[in-house]
Amino acid sequence: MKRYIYNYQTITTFSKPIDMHSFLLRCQPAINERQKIENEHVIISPDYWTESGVDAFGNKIIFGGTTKPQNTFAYVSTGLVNIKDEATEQDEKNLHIYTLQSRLTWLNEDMIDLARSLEHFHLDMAEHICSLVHEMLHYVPNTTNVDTPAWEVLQKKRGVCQDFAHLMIALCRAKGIPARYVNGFLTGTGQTHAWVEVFDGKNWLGYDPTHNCDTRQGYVKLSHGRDYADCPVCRGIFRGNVLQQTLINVTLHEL
Amino acid sequence: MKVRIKELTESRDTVNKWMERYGVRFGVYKNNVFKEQLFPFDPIPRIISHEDWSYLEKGLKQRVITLNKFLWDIYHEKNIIKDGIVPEEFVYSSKGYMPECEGINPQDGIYSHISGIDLVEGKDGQWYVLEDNLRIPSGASYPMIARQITRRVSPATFQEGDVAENRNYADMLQGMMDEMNAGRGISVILTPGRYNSAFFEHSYLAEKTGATLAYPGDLFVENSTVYYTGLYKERVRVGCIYRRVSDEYMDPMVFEASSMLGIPNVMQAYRAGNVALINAIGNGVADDKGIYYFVPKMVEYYLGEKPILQNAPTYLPFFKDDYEYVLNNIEKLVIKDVSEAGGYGVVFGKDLPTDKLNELKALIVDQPRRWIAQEVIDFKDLGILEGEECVERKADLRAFVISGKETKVWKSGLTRFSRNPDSFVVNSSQGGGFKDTWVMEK
Amino acid sequence: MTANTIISAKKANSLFWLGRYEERVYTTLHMLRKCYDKMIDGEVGDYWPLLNTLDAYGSYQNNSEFTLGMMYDKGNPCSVITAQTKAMDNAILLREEIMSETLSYLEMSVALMNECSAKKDANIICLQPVIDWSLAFWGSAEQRFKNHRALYIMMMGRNIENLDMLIRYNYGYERIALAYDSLKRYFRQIPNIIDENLEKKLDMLITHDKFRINDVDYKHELLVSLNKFVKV
Repeated sequence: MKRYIYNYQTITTFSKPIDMHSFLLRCQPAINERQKIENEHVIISPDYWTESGVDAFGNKIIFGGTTKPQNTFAYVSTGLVNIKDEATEQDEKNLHIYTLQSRLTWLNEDMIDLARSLEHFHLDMAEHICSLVHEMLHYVPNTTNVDTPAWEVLQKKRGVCQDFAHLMIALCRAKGIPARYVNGFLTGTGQTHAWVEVFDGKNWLGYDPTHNCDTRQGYVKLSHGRDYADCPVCRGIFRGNVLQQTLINVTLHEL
Repeated sequence: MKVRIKELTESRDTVNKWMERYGVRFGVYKNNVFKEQLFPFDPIPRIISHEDWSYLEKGLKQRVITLNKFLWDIYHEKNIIKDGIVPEEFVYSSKGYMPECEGINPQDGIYSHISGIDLVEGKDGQWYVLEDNLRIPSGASYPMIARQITRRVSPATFQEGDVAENRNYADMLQGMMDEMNAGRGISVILTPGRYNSAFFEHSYLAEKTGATLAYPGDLFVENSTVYYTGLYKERVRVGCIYRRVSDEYMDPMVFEASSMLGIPNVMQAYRAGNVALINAIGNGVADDKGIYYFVPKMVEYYLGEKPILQNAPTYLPFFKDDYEYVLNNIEKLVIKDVSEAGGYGVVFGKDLPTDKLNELKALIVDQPRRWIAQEVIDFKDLGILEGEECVERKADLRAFVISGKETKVWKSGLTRFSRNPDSFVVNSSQGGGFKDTWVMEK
Repeated sequence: MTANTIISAKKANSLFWLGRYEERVYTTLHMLRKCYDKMIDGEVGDYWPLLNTLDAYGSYQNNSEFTLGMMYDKGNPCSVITAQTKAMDNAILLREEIMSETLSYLEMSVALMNECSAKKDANIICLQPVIDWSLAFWGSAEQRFKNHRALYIMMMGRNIENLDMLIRYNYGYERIALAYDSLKRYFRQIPNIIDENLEKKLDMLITHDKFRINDVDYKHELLVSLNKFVKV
């Protein structure tokens, strides 16, 4: 077992006060066979009502809002998490939704062809796809956005961790392997990270196509979904035409 | 009934004048410009005999009760899939299936509170269900207001007293909303705004049910409770939302992130059981064109009864036998694209030249799951007034079923007809008109 | 079901502007009738003062262009048809507050105006039903509104519009003071609906001693205060 201390902090400032702000966060480490929370705190700007719950994918959520105009929205999620490296999640709830392509993993002709070309026998198809995606794509920030679908990533051959994950998920599903998108922290990166979990019939196994490795060491999971759109760390909406600036700070350190 | 053309023509013009007076319109977008049109009213009613109605009423209740059970099952235990009655591909790949609704328990287990079941009557007198509409079926307001006006314009017509009242739709709706509200607060009808094609209906139903018409921005969530907010930011709790905003725009925190039409975090209030949504979110999975095929089987599965209403004979190329049949008989079938709505994704094999037929066949071979095929039903035509003449046109019937603690069928419906003599498509966005539907009490 | 007495910000705004525009239909027709009467035995350009008083832009080459334009030009913000359309645009959002019966008078006016406009009917007498229906609208509203606060907000709009016109046309003190009194009857019924500083100012300006309707600055101040007065 390993012990990690994590701290996730976001401060968004607005050029003018915003009205009727609502938010929904998935900023706490998941609890499952691998991860246990030893200690946790979430701090959110005052003036907001907040509640916590679980979404339909099984992720912990905190949601809330305010009717008072605000200049800043800030939240911090911090704590200690214990991880059993060799344990796996074995949750079979809603397995079906991870077998079908979702909005951001939809296949175009090129992807169907690519998936078909993966015919030769591989002991571990998921692992093979993981390295394939890793080799095919270049890690280049600011060339894609949160709405870029996997087929476009394949066309551009570049993107960030989210795009690597989407392409890997799309190919796994095309080969009949249930796959889901995972959001979380990775030691030494200073930001949130995205990777993939595939289901082997019993266990959910983590793969990180960005780094071409499994996720046993140094990965703390926050949430999962069919693709990015199901499990962003933060969603929000408000009234007001303003400029906003967001500072995010992530620390994950093994103790 | 003896058709007295002169009186009917006169009454048609007067009634249509009154419809204009009351602003009975629907909006259409042509080349991205919003236009409001009058919905042309034809004065010859569709008359449904007492016997036919007793049959339809029983069948509609049975069908809607079943569809509600199906929706509960899909978002909970999924027994119908486990038992192999409906293949899982048809459920989970349906656009209307919303995984975000897994495990939500709507008030009294009801999903489809307002169901619009589209039927046609064959030449042989047999009724067939063409489509179930369980998301936001619209159109009840038109026969309601048409009846109000025709009774005023030609009172003599109704003096015999055998035509069932239909202006009670608002009471049925209000009664159901009260039950779903369960005393938690006010009831509102949430409209996307006046540029929605059915805005007239939204505002008219609000007036007639006494519900508040809410616009985007009027509602907000605090502590998982929905409130309607006033000029001074004063508030009142909302217990029931009859929403005319589609699923994907209802909550920007869960669905379409940029939606300004919805209510942020309303899904959390809904999941917590603090507000009823009418209809429930995620109903699209049950009125999917592919799922339609399985409805008669569902009736047997959930109720252990023989289905009373019949589907139009339907084939799913997904199944091997049907696949062969469809490819061999395509020229006499209606082919429907499951991934499209609004009447545009419907093709009649008989209308296609050989090259187009082959193209279509190739598409079916490529993606069998995407298509359903149906035998063309020989509709019984209805008489409509074209100028001063009575001519025969295709027409369908949308029956409305209201499900609160009880499931009730409205004794009327929206009869739409096609203006074009060759067209089988009676969608109002394609230029048809409507008739009142008379259900005979005796 | 719990009854709702709360009026949303959006509806309050629509109610207020419905009141203003519907009153504008009436007053504009009234002013036009006077102007057209003068033009019968007057000169080309007799309509200029009216156009200026209304802050209207748009140039009309002659009396008959002006006549048609003020009635049916949808591009002219001061035309009768513009006021009627805007009244309808607000009213359509309020069906369940004002009821279909009340709304129908506006529907009929819009339909008639479109019909007359298509025929280019330049005789203002063809719009007499618009005046009749406008009065029927107010009567029906008074009878049928379920929520009295909603009625008062609309009536504030109506009275502000009326007062605005009286000021623009340099009516005398008696008429303006009376119209202001009538406006007060409504806003006293609704807490916090007006700007209290502006109320004090208007109270001060509309007194026998201070009244100087021919003074440009005075008139300007009066109009500005009046038009910023209501917080909807």
